[in-house]
Parts: sequence; structure tokens; C-alpha cells
Amino acid sequence: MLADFDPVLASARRGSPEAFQALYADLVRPVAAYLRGKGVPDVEDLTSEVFLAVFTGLERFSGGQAEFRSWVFTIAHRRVVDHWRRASRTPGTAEYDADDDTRTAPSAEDEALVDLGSARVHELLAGLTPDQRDVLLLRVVADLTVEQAAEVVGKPAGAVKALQRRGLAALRRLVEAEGVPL
Amino acid sequence: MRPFDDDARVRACADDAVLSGAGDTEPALHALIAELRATADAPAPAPTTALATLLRTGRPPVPAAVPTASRFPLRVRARRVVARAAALGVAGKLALGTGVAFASVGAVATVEAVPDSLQNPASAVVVELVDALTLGTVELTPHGSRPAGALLGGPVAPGGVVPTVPDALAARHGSPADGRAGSGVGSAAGERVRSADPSTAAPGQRVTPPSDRGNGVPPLTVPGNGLPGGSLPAEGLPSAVVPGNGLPAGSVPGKGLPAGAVPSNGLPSGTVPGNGTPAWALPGNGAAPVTVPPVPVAGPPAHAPGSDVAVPGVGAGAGAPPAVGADPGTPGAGAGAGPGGGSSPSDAAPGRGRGPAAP
Repeated sequence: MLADFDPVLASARRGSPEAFQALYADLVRPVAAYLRGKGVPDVEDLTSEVFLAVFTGLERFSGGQAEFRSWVFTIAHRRVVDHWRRASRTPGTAEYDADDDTRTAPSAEDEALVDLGSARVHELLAGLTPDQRDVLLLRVVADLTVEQAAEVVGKPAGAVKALQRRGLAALRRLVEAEGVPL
Repeated sequence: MRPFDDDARVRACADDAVLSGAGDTEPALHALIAELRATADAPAPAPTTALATLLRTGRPPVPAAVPTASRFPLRVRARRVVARAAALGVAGKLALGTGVAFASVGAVATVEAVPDSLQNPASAVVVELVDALTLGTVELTPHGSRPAGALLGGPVAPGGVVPTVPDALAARHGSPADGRAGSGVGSAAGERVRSADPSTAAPGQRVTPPSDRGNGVPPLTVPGNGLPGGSLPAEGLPSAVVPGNGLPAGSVPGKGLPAGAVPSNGLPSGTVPGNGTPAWALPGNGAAPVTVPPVPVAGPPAHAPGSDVAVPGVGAGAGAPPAVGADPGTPGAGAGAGPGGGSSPSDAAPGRGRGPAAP
């Protein structure tokens, strides 16, 4: 969160590159984490798309820092939706190239050393419904309130609370079932 | 408060505690949530080139809301106008064309159906004419600008170079009886200027056998390139050849219509010769209607015999006849019926747009 958001926003509206950089630095990692949690394959491109839309659409935004955060994640959410729609219409294909295949069989030591944190989290999130995953990512990664998350996903706050509760319950069951310490 | 309201609130509090990491009742779930939150601290991905440039150089200050129309070039807007006009029904197209180009709108002319073979090739001309009608700023492109005065003054070389209307008017008024065929103002859409001599009509020319003249029979089309015959520039339709899609007969491409010269019948100024010669009218010397061979025109107006042009539907209010001596390719270039009596006003397209009978 920026301490002096309002002046920065005003400066960004005037086209100041420093203001752009401040806003970008404040939100790029949560946005990328949100996109990564949504399973988007090309996080870099999509993250840049989001911020290009943000910086070119500043004239359409009005509000404070909390509203700005909601607005940015709304753009990110819609970009993800658009991405999956495009992907469903034109599934990408690629020839297999062994040189490009970096998969390797981990050794026992690798398994012990591998940071299961983020990878494991994403695997567990994959066990949720898309709406549940959306809400938890917005509540945890984006640090939005229930009302802000409701604006992003376009659902009532009560529905968002219900999705949050069911998502946490599902995670609880998955964690207990796997019994894997994190 | 009902029991389940309290339960829901308790559950919400518990959820908030898990999400915030408070409490230690569920350590596994708390740890998972903490790991999820930590993903937001991962290194940021590299920006794309476009974003990197924007971050480095910024952008101009955000301007006020820009009207949508100004974002697009003139021709794009004109094409949209054409597209919208094309979506209209026949009556709607005529009303649109005449409403735009004419000060007063009369009854809507009956529009002859334009063969499909003419519609597409004529679309470029339609764009041009709509530009002239709606914007009044279009020179004839891609056929190139037309020399002024070529429309109604002298003989029109094949190809039908169409001058700007003001020049056409000047030429018209300067030589009201110079024997040039009108452009079909007063004719309904698709009306053709009758060839002076059908037997000499070149391919691509439209001719009306003498026996058919005056009885409203549409001219025959000599097979050619599918375009209105006789007055086509080598590179395409003459500026004045407008398919019968509802554009007014007086829609002369070029510099638009001159102001203040709208005849009482609603036709735009510059499209009706002062003497009211119909487009199909004979030259002032009583000779047969001018026919222009299909050769591009680059010089001053000089109507060659044998030209036969399609004139657009004049639409509502297009009652004024075309200018005498109007370029055969000029829609509604005349200002009234001219002298000469080779064609009768009945040669005009049925309905509106018919000028006064030739003397």
C-alpha cells in the first residue's frame, strides 16, 4: 500500500512515469500471484496487459487506494476470463521437443529439498471450484475485503462469504486428507 | 436474532480468523493460507516491451473524453454511414440520401432495382457520393480528383470525370444549351441516360432502343464489365455513376453541393441545370442523348455521343431535371430540362426526380 496514494494517482493521470512505476511496484506482485493462482500459463504477458489497461484507463477511475486496488484486480479478473475464453476457442498445440522438456525425475534429496509451499498451495487450490479459488485468491493474495472481492467477481457479498467458507472447508479437508505438513 | 444468524456470524468470524492467520486452532490450514499469502511476495515478472516503455517514458496527460467519431478517419466514418444506409430499406435509403443532400424532401422516388452485378463495383462510388452528401468535402478518390468544370461543360471523355458541383453549375449556367446530356437528375435510381445511338453503343454502355424511349423501359445493358455502361473510367466507376441505391440524383461527387442553389423541387443545387434538362435529355441541338464511351476522362467536360450513364435515384424531392450537358456519369448534375427533344421526360425513371419536359 502506498502512503501517498492520492498524489501518486494524480501524477499518474498526468502521465508521470515515476507515478506509473510506483503504482506498478505496489501491485505487480499481488496481481502476478493472483494470475498464477488462477493457473494462467503466461503470467508475464497477462500481468503486463493488466497494467497497460490500468495506465491507459486511468481517466475512467475515481476513488481512493482501496478502490484502485479493487479496480486493478477487476481488470486482472476480466483478463483471465478473456484468456480462458480465447484458450477454449483456440487450444494451442505444440510439437513435442525433448530438448524443451525440462522435466526430470526428482531424487529423494530433491523431494526433501523442494519447497512444497507455493507448488503445493497451487495444487490444493486446484481442488477448489473456480469461484471458490477466485474468492480465496482475492481475499488472501489481493488482500481485498469481502465487499471488494464481491465487486471484482460480480457477485453479492453474501455469495462471496459463502464461497469463502466452502473454499476454506474444502482446503481443510484436502489438508487433512493428505496429511502433508506445510 | 435467529439462531442460524448467530451461527453464520460465528462461522464468518472463524473464517476471517483463518484468513488473517489469527488463532491456532487449525495450524495446517493456517499454514496453507500463509503460504498462499506469501506467493504475493514472489519476484515480479518482467514487463513486456510496451509496458516497459510506458513505465520509462510515461504518457501524455489524460485528455477529456474524446467523441467516438473523431477517432476514426473520415473515410471510415463515411463507410459506416454507407453501411448504415445500406442497412436501410429502399425508402429509408432514399430518404436518407435526399434528406442529407436536399433542402426539401419530396416524395420518394421509385427506385429501380440495381442489378447485383452493379452493386458491388459501385460501392466505392457510393462511398464517395455519401461523403459528398454528408460531408461535402470529398474529392473523387481513388479515381482521383476530377478537374473542375469537367462535369457539365464540355464533352465528357470516356470515364466520366466529374467536376465539382460548383464548377459544374458554372459550366451549366454558362452553356445551358450546349447539347450535353443531363446526368439523370429527375431520374429514379438506376435510370440510364439514353444513348444517342444505340446501334453505336460500345460494350458496357446502356442503350435504349428508340422504340423503347419514352415508355419507361429501362435501357438495355450492353455486356461489358458489369458497370453502368458508357461512362466508366478505366479505373472503375465514373464519379457520377451511382447505383440506384437511393442516393439522390444530384449527388455529385467532388466538392459537394454548392450552397443556396437548391431548386424548389428539393434537388440540390448544382445537380439541376438551369434549363431543367433531364439527365436523359438531348443536347441542345436536338441530337440524340449523349453517349460517352468508356474511357477515363481527364480533360474538360465534353460529352461524347453514345454515353450512357446510370444516375442515382434522386429520392425524395428530386424533381428537378439534370443539367443540360451534364456529364453522363454525373448523377443529377443537371438543373433542369434542357433543350432538345430526343428523349422525353418519360424516359426518366418512374416516379420522382423527373425534370420538366424538354421544350
